[in-house]
Amino acid sequence: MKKDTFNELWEKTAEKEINKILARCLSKIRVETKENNINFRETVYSRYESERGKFRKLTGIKIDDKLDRHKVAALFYVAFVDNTDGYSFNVFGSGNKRLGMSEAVVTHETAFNIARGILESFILVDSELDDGYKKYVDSNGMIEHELICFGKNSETRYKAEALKQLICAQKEHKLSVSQLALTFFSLENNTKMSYKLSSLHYP
Amino acid sequence: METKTLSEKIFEIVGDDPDSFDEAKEMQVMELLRPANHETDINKVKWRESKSNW
Repeated sequence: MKKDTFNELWEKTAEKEINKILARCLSKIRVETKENNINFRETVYSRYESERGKFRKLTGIKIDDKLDRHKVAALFYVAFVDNTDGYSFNVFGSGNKRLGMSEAVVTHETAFNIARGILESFILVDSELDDGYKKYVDSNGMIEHELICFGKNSETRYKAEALKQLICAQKEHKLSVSQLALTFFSLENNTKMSYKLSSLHYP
Repeated sequence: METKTLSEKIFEIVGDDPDSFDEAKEMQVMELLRPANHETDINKVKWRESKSNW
């Protein structure tokens, strides 16, 4: 991805999601990231390019072939949550080592929200999709799966359960771009089905 | 009913003083991150091949 494109993605999508989640969760403590925003952006871009190179090599996708939106979102997710040198996104401003999993949750949730924004941005400019669907996504965003195995009053939701699994996968060094891309494909598929159902009720 | 996000629950557990985040709070976080589980009695399952055709 060209640097200019990434910077625009960061400014219009990532940064807004970062500020949203911090504003939603802000308590009396001062929150901060370990690096300033520009350094963090540069770090994520560098990781993104590195992951993209590895992914293309692994899958044999040709260098000239553009990657689909699910793979772009997956690559960004993996780049954002990388914790080789500890999570960059340290919202608690504390050296307390016990906060590791807490940092993981906030980092992964932010990455997931950004990935949704990436998907929506792509969908809205895809000329092969019908206008009704694009309008639906523009108004409603991505539609979350129902958790069919759990009771109506269950307090958990699809996103929470997905995040738990992704955090687990990262702990086991098994966070996979391919499987994440499939997750985002499934999320878009669910959104498309919701749109089709809504079209039946409100033609 | 709006369910709290995982991050919101985390911020509630961590509270206003992250430096004092102790083992008890850490266990609360681990509890929060335990995947939901829908228990099924495997002994009641009657195994069969799939009828799906795709």
